[in-house]
Amino acid sequence: MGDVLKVVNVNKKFDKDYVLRNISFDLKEGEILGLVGPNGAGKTTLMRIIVGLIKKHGGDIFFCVDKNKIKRDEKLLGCMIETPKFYSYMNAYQNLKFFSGLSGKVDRKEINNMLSFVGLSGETKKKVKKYSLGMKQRLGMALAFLNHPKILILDEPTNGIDPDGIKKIRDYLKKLAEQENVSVLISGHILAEIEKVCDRVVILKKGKVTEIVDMKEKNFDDKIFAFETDEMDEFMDLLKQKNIVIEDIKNNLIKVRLQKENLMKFIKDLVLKDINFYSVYEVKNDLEQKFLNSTGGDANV
Amino acid sequence: MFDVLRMSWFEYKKIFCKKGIYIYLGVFLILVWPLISKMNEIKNLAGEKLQAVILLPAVYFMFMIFAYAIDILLEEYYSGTATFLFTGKMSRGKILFSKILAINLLGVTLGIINCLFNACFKNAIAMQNQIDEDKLIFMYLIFSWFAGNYFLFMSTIFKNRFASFLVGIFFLTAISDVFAFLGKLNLANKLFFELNPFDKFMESLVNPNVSVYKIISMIFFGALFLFFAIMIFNKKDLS
Repeated sequence: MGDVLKVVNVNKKFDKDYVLRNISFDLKEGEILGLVGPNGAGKTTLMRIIVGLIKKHGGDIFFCVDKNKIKRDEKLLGCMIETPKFYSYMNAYQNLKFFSGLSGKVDRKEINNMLSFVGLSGETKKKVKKYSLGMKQRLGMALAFLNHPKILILDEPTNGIDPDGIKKIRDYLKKLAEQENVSVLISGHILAEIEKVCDRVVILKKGKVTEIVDMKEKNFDDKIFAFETDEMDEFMDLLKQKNIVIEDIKNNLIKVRLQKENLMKFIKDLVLKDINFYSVYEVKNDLEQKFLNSTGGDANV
Repeated sequence: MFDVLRMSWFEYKKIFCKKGIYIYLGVFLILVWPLISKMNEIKNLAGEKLQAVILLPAVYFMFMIFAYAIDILLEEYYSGTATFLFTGKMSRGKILFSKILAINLLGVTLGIINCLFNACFKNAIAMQNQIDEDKLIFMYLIFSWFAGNYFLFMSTIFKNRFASFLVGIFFLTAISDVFAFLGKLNLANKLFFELNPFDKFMESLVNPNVSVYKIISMIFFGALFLFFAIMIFNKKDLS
């Protein structure tokens, strides 16, 4: 799998404040890459730079197709940045026809198919100003998918879309990536959704990449359990004996990595060794936890 | 080139999807209706009356061209559609060029409407051999190229309809006045005025019998404004 997009040391500052600092990552062919971060982390700014809306920035953006670097204007890019806006005085079909003209071809059949796919086939004659947020979002997705882009840049694409629609879009993105080798860069606020669809996730905080999580390598079968105890030394000895991975130690709280079925066995060992503990509880070991650790516990994604 | 022509046709059709154009033309009809309703009575117009009849559509359509040239780009900012428009395969330069071609098409359409209006007064106007209709439509094309590019250039600088219009008009009249002043002082020869597109260019819609030099200079300076508009716009962040 070659890279289709390379982001190299991208910087951006508004006035004197840096909103992005030395951002580097790549997007591979057929990969779905997530971009998450707290509000103001720079996700949308980074996407705007990638799609060419922001021109003044440091660093480089390379698009590569068939191992050749290509110019930005030749890129086969489908994108949706923030809430999509359309010509309110036109209907859905007219809007898609107009914008698809920018990509070099207008295929009526494809436009109708795409409107049908996003569930707007019955609303094509209605002017866009009468659309709800969810309908506009669906139309934005239809436009992003139109004309077979090689790279999709989607900024919070499922905002305002109902659960059924979200699942449909998620399945379609996976199908595009697996069967047509389309690469997707997607940002979102619902981490569970990002987790379900992405191969890797870039975590941003205050304009910096804090971590790139490979969702395939990450073993989410392991759970993290926190034990509260006063007998730290004895507890640690037992962990060493049993080769159990320690994730974190803070005061009288020890976090360990265990598979759920081994928990009872370990508690039995603690009882047999007469090691007292006050409580035990599961700590989330998913993207959300990873995100919270990486961003220092910012609540706003 | 084909994609630019197609986009300009789409842009032109977009103008007619909006209410604005029908309001403009409706207001024009209301303004000229008193004249049209009495056209059978008007047999011989002369002097100031004739000038007023010829001037009315020219001035009205001239301001329409100014307004649409400013709005054709700024609309994308105000409606938020710039995000889709400027992330497609087509470059910013090609998009601006297609937009200005749409303004040219609008200019020709307004020229045709102007000719239809003049046709209503054919007896009164043609007898005095005032207007050559083919030349008038051609001048609308040249005028919309020059003025369209000039106001497009203004809109890339100010990103605001009101400021683009006011500053654009101010510089147009100021530059025209400077040349008129130079003319009075005999500081410039006739050819200099002919090659200067700002000098009396607004009158070309009233009197389309302008010299070849003037036409060439309007085409050249129009292209120059488009070039600078693209240069500026290419470097701008769209956020």
